[in-house]
Amino acid sequence: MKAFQSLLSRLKQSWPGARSLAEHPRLPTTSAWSGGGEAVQVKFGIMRIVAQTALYPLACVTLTTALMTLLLRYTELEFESIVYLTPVLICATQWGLISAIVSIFASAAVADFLFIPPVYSFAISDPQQILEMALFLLVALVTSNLAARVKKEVDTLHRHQHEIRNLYEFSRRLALCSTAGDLLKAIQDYLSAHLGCEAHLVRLGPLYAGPRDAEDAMVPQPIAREAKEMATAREPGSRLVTEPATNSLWALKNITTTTAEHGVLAVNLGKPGGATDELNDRIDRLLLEAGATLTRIDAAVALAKANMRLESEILRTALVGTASHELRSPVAAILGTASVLDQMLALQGDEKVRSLVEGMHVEAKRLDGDIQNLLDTARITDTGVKPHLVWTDPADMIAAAIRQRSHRIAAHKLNVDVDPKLPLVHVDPVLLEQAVGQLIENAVKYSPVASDITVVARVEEGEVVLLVADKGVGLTEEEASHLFWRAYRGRRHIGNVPGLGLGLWIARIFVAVNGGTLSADSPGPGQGTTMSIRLPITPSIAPELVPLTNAQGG
Amino acid sequence: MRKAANKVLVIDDESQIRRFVSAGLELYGYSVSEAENGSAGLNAVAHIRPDLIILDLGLPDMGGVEVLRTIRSWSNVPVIVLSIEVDEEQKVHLLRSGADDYMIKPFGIAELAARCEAALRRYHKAVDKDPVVRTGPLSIDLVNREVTLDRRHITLTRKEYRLLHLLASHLGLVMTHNQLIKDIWGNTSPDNIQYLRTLVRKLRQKLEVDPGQPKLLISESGVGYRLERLAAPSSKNPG
Repeated sequence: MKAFQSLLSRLKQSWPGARSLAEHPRLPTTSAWSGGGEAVQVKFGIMRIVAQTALYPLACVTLTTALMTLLLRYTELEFESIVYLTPVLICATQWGLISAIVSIFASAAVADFLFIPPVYSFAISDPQQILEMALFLLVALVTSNLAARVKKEVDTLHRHQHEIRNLYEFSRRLALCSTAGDLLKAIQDYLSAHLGCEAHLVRLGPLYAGPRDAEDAMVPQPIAREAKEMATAREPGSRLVTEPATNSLWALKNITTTTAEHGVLAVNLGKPGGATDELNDRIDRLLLEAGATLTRIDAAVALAKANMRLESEILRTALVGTASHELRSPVAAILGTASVLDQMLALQGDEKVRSLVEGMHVEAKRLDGDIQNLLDTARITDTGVKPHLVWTDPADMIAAAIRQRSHRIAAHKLNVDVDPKLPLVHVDPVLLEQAVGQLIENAVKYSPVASDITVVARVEEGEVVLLVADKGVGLTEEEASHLFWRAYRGRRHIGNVPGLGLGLWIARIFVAVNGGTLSADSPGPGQGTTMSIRLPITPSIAPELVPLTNAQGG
Repeated sequence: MRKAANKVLVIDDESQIRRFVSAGLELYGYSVSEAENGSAGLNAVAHIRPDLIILDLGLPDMGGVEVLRTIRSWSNVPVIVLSIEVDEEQKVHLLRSGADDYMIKPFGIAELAARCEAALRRYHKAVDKDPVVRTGPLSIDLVNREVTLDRRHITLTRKEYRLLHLLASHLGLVMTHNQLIKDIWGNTSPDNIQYLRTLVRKLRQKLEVDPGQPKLLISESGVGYRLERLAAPSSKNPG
């Protein structure tokens, strides 16, 4: 009777109260819909089924019968079997078809027994009454069927409505998420609040690695292990795994976007059965929804990081550019002053002091070279390098590069072998002269005094090749592969040989913008290095002039 | 050479640069005056009437090129421009605007002194009328069109001689590619740079001991060529 009262109160309050029963098709236990302020507490599924199929219909019929009896006793009204459609419809709309059918037969039995003559007997004497009873049964069956179907549809509608509202709530929460962590928390909350699923994130990395992975511990070990495996293998999509101990089904979903990997979401779907498939689908839909947001968040994070890097890069470039400019003037003054001192002391003939001045000159010159490299780096990063292409004699570039550094090369044995029949190349001579000069400086820097440095220019396989070979420290495998990186310095040389590690990076870019390639070749550490610049030969407009065959004529 | 001290005016806003240029050029026998900005410089040009001007491009009050143009509007006095970092187009532009030569900082005093001397020689050439230009083993008689290397006669084609003549008459100073092309071929088609390169190469093969490492015909990347002023093999330091 208690259940019946609650039924009545719900009927009085609002019709859609019925949906609460449809809310948790899968949830036989404690969970209850908490959104509407009313609660139906049905302790056990079997009891509910008994109540719905027998208790409620019979109660309805009984109530109708009681009212009917009172009406017949105190009024002049005659019995109409159609009155029993009321409990039938209530049952159909409230508890479905089975409950309605139970109420139909109960109604028919009670009406026949109590109201249709002969009274207190199931027999019917009047053929009219037989027809009426048959009609009642037919109408009741049809209407209850219709009503049950409507109820089912309305229930579905309500369920969808509710689902949509939940999803809407969820999307709103998604929109507020600013980190992937927030979002994963939102997914977990949604799963536990609305689907009643326990969900935990298993991150990439070893199992139970630290306090950050405390969530791992919430997942049964075999499931967690499988999740880790999935995360490590970067396996996309999902897996279904049954945990042997409790025989519950777990869905493992890899949460990955194009820019980040977050881990694997382990969701407890409960005991295997019909509902798990639908649940799994709903989780997938949910993750699909969240995926877009996650991608947005990940992209925003990646973008912010890139922006920060870019900004710091611009700042650094500007700083380097300005600082270098400011440094250049005093260095020019030091170098000029050193040259004046050198001239003065030359007149006095004091060799000791002169060597000091020479030392000052060498260091200041090196400093100036470093500043030049920083300025070039700033220029490359800032505006890029646009080559000013003109027809150039490769021999001129080599000669100019050597001439600029004659002071520094003096202690080495320089051999120059330039093919006198080299074709002209269409390049920026200033950039290439700097590149060649850089190679020569490196050769001087990384080879012992008085060793050979060979500069060769020749044609090889349709290209002009400029080689600078030394007999110096050579290259290790690591050095050979990192040589042209910006600011890379061989580990052997850090602290021994001064430098910023910019020279070859700049040289490579200067060669590349001229359509050439720069490469390094070394048999190994201590066995010397050969650097080569390869330049394409562009067809010249005056081909007959380019190969100088009559060079010795005159 | 001219023993009377040539007056040099240094126009530069950086005192450290002025100081070493003054001290250095005095070693080479010049009398040096200083100005620290463009207007003071122009004033000094009018009052001191220097024989040579060393002009920094980065002046605080007016552009170096503007100062150069103003000077050129009334005087042919040799001007050597100083600068930190100019690209090759700017160099060519400076030369076209009337600079006799340029020096890129940092530079040594010996280089600057050599440029000063070359510019002064070129300026006074018209007065001196010395028809023979000598540098290292090379001598070029501009009147008799005779070229000798280590006193041996050298035969040049007409164009080769024209090129050498041009460079010799600007001995020690840079001549731009365009100046050379215009004079030799009578036009400034950019394609002619190929003919110029080839011509220079041929000339080097006749004049240089090692054409791969030229000592006389020097290329200034992106700007032009210079016939270097070298001491005669037998005689001592000039000046």
